[in-house]
Amino acid sequence: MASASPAQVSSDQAVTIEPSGVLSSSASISEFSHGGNIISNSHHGSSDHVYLMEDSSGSDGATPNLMRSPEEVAADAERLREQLKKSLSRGREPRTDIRDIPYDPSHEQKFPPRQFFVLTHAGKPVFTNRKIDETEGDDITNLIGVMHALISVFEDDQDKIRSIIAPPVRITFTIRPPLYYVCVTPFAEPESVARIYLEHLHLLILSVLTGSQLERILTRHANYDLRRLLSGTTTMLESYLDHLPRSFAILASSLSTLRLDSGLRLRVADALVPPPNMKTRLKDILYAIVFVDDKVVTIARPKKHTVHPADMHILLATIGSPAVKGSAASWLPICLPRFNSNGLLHAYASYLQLPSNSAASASQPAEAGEAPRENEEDAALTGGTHAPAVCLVIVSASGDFEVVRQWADVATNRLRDGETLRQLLKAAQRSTYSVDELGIPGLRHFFFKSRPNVQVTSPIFNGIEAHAHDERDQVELEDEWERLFNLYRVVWDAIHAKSGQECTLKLQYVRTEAVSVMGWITKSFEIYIALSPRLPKSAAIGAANAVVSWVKREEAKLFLRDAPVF
Amino acid sequence: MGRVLLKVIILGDSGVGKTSLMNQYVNKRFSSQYKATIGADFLTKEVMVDDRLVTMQLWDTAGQERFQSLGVAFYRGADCCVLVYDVNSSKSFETLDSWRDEFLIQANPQNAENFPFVVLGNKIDVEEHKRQVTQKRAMAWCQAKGSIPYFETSAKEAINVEQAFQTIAKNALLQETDIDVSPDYPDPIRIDSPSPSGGCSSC
Amino acid sequence: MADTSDATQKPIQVKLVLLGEAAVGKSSVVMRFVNNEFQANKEPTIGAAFLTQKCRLEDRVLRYEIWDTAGQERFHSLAPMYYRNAQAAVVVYDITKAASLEKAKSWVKELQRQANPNIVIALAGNKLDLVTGQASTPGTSAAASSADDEDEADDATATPGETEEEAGSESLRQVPKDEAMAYATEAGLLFTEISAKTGEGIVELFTDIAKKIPIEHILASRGAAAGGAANANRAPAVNLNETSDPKNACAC
Repeated sequence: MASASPAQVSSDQAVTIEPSGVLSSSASISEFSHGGNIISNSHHGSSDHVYLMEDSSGSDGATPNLMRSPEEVAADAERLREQLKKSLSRGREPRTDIRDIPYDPSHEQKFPPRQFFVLTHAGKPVFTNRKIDETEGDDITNLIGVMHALISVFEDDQDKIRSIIAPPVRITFTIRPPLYYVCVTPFAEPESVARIYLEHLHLLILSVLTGSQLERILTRHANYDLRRLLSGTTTMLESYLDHLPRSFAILASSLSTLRLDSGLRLRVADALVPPPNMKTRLKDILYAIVFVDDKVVTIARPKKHTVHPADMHILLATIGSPAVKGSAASWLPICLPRFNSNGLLHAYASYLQLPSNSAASASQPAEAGEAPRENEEDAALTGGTHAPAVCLVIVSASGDFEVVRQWADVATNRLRDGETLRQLLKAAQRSTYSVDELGIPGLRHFFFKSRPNVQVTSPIFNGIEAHAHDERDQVELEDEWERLFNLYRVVWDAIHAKSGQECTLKLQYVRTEAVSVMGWITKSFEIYIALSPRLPKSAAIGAANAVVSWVKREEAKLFLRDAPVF
Repeated sequence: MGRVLLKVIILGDSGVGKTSLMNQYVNKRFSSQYKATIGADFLTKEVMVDDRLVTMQLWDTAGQERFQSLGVAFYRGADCCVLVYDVNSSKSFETLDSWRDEFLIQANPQNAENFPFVVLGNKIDVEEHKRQVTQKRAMAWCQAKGSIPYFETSAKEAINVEQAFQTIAKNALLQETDIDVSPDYPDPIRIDSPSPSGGCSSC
Repeated sequence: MADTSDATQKPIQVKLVLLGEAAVGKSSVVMRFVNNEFQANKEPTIGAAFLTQKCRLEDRVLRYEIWDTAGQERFHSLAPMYYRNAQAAVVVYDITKAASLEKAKSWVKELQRQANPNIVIALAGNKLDLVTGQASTPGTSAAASSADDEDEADDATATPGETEEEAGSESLRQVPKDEAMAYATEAGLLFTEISAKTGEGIVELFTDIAKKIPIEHILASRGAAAGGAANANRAPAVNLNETSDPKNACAC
C-alpha cells in the first residue's frame, strides 16, 4: 500500500517546483515536486515515486525533425519512451484501504474543496470551478497547459494518464476527446468516485453543446475558445459540482424519488396522460415528468424508450438553474447525453403555482406563464425558504412548441382542478422522514437502492450521535455528513470493486470510533447503513434486515412503480 | 464575451535565448520548470489589443529532439507562432525554415497562408562583429515567407518583444473574425429510431 | 357591439419576442413589465422564458405572450423557433455598450428577412438609468419619475438634464440617442430609450407596440386558418363577426 507521506526529494536530479511558481500550494500538482505516483494505463505506480528529471544529457544542437532522417526521429522517440519508463515505477495500483481512512475529528483540513478543470485538446481552458483572482488568473492558464502537456506526453507513448496520487489529494484525468477533464479530490475518496464526478461534468457539458457539435467545432477549429459557447452556464456547472459529492442517487446511477402516497402519485400520473386529440401528435414527445425539488414524482414515456438516471440528473441541473426557476415557464434546448449524445431535444419546464380561488380565474383556464395569484393558505405552501418547488417538464425531440404547450396546459389544469397540485405540495412538505420513524435502535442513517426500480431513498441526516433532536451546529453537521458520506463511498467502491480490487463483495462492515457503516448488496437491493459504533456486528446485520423490511412495507410510497407509458 | 485567449507557440533552436526572452517579457524570475520532462514551459501574459483584454498562453517548447514527436499535440489549436533565432548564429537562422514548415505540417491550421507568424532576432546586444545574420537578410526571408513581421531584440531590451507580441496578438485576432462558427444545431433527433439502451425501464 | 369593459372583452393574443445581445437587460425589461420588479445580477436566461401580460388600450385589450430569449451565442441559430409567428419584437441594446447596437442591427436585419412580414419591431436602448441621475429614484412608472422631475424643477437654477452628477453620467453612454433614433427611423422601427431598473419608458414601449400592431391582420389570419388544436386551449379566438363592427375597428 502506497504510503500517504510524500517521498523525499533526494538528488540533484530532481527539479523542485517553486512554491510561488505556476502552482499554488493547495494545488495537487505542486506535490508532484516531492513525488507522486503516476498511474497510467500501462504503468502502475507503487511506493516508488516519480521525480521530474532534469535534462542531464543536454543536447545542444536541437534540430527540427524535417531536417533529420526518419531513423533519427524514431530513435529519439524511443529515447523519450525510455526516459519516461525510467521515471515511472512498476507495481500494483494502490487501493484505498479502509484502514487508512482518516476519521479523525481533529483533522485540520479534512476535505479541501474539490477542484475541476476542463480543457480542449489544444490546451485551452474551457471551465474550472477554481476561483480565479487577479493574481492567480495566469497561473490557472499555465496549469491548464501543464495538464495538456502531461496528457500529451503519455498519449504520444500510446498511453493514457489516469491519475496522480499525491496525498492529501488525488488528481484524476479523464480523456473525452476533444475535451480533457481533470479533478483534484481528497485522497481518501476512491478514484472511481472522482471518475464519476468527471463523467457527470462531461455529461453536463454535452447537454449544453451536444457531442456532435463539440466534435465538429473543435475538429475544424482546434483553436476555438469553447468558453464562448458555455457562456452563462457557470452557475449551473458550479452548482452541479457542489451537488455531485452529496448525491447518493448519482453515485448509484439511480433516480431519487419523492415519498408519496401511491394514490396521489397515480393521480399525478393520470394528469400527465396526453389529451385524446393529441395522441397522433405524440411521436416526438420523449418524456413528461413531474419533479418536486430534486426528486421525481412520476415520469411518463413512450413505450419503447427508457429513462436514463444520469439524464434525469442533467435535466434537474438545467431546470434548477436560477433563470429557469425564476420564470414561470421556459422552453430550452438540451441534449440528454445518455439518450442520444449527438442530438438536441427541447424541454418545456414550468414551475407550477397554485391558482387563486377567485371566480375570475375560474372562467379562464390557467395557462402556463401567468403570473400567480395566491391566497394565504396557498402562500404558506408555496412561499418560504423550504417550500417545495413542483416542476412539470416535457421533453420533445421536435421544436414544435405548440404541441408541447398544449399538452402542458392540459396537464397543468388537470393538476390544479382536481386539487392534486395542492395535495402534492402538502405531501411534499411532509415527504422527508427521519430514522426515528423506523424505530431501529442504533440506526443513524441509511441509503437504500431498489435495484429493479433503479431508485434510491434515504432519511434526512441528523448527525452521528443519538441526540439527533438537539440544536446541531450546522457546520458540525456538514462535517459529519461529509465524513459519513465518504465512508459510504469507500464501502460502495469496495463492494463494486470499482478501483481494481480483486473481487466484488456482498457485504462490508467498517467500524470507526464514531460510527459503524455497513454495505450490503443483493440482487434486489443495495443498502448502506450507519449505526452507533457500540452496536455489535450481529446487531448491525439485524438493523440492516430491519431497514430492508421497513422499506418493503413502505415500498409503495417510497418508489415509483408502473410509471405511465404512452 | 470580451476575454480572448490566444495560444502562442514559441519555436527556435535551443540556445537562441527563447526562455530568457519569455521570462523577461512576462516579468517572472528565471524559471525553466518542466521543459525537460514534459516538453514545454508555460507562461501567461495579458495584453490590451484595441480595447480587448487578451490573455496570451505562451508555450515555450523544448526544442529538443526527444519532444518533437509531440508537435501535433502541442501545436494543435495554436493561434500564432513566434520564431526565434540568434543573430549571432547563422545556423539558428537557417533552421527557421524547417521550424516554420514543421509547425505548419503538424499544426495544420485552417488558413496556412495567413497564419500569424512573427520572427524575433535575438541577442543583438552582443558585439557587432560576432553577428552572423544581417537584418537585411532576415527581413528578406520574412518578406518572402508571406510578409512575416520582424523584430530584433535582446534580453536587456524588453521593448521590441512587447511590440512583437502586440503585433502577433493583433494579427491573430484578425484571423479570429474570419472564423465563422455559427453552430447550426444538429439535426433533430428521431426518437422513433433506435437509441442506446441501458436506462431504467421498470419505472 | 362596442363593449369596452374588461370582463367581457376578449383579449387579443399577441406573440412578442425579445432579442438582443447577452446582458443588455432583456429579462429585466420583461420582469419590470410583467411583475413590476427589478433584480440586479439576474442569472442569464437559458433558451427562452415566456410569460404573459395584458396591455390595455382604449379600445382593446391585448394579451402579450412574451418570449424572453437568451442572448448567448449558442442560442442564435434557435432564434427562428422563438420568433416564428411573432407579431411583435423588441430588439434591445445597452446604451452603454456600442457593440450591442451593432448586434441589435443584425437582429433587425434577420427579423426583416425571415420573420413574419407584418411584424412590428421596436428598438429599445436599455440602462437609461446609468446615464442619467435617475438611478437613485426607483420609480415604478413614467408618471412617478416625472413627478420627481417636478420636484427638481423647484430649484430655479436647475435645468432638466443637469441634475445627474452622482448616480449616472453621460460619459457612460456609448450610443447617442439621435444616432439610434436615426437608424430606427430609417429601418422603420419604433424607438425608445428605457430603464428596466427605474421602469422608465417600459409601459410606453409595450403600449406603443400594441397601438402599432395591425390587429385586423391577426384576426383575419386567425379566422382564415382552420385554427385547429393550436388555438383550442388558449383564450378563445375573437369571433370574426365581432371585429367587423366598425366601433371596434382599430383607430390607427
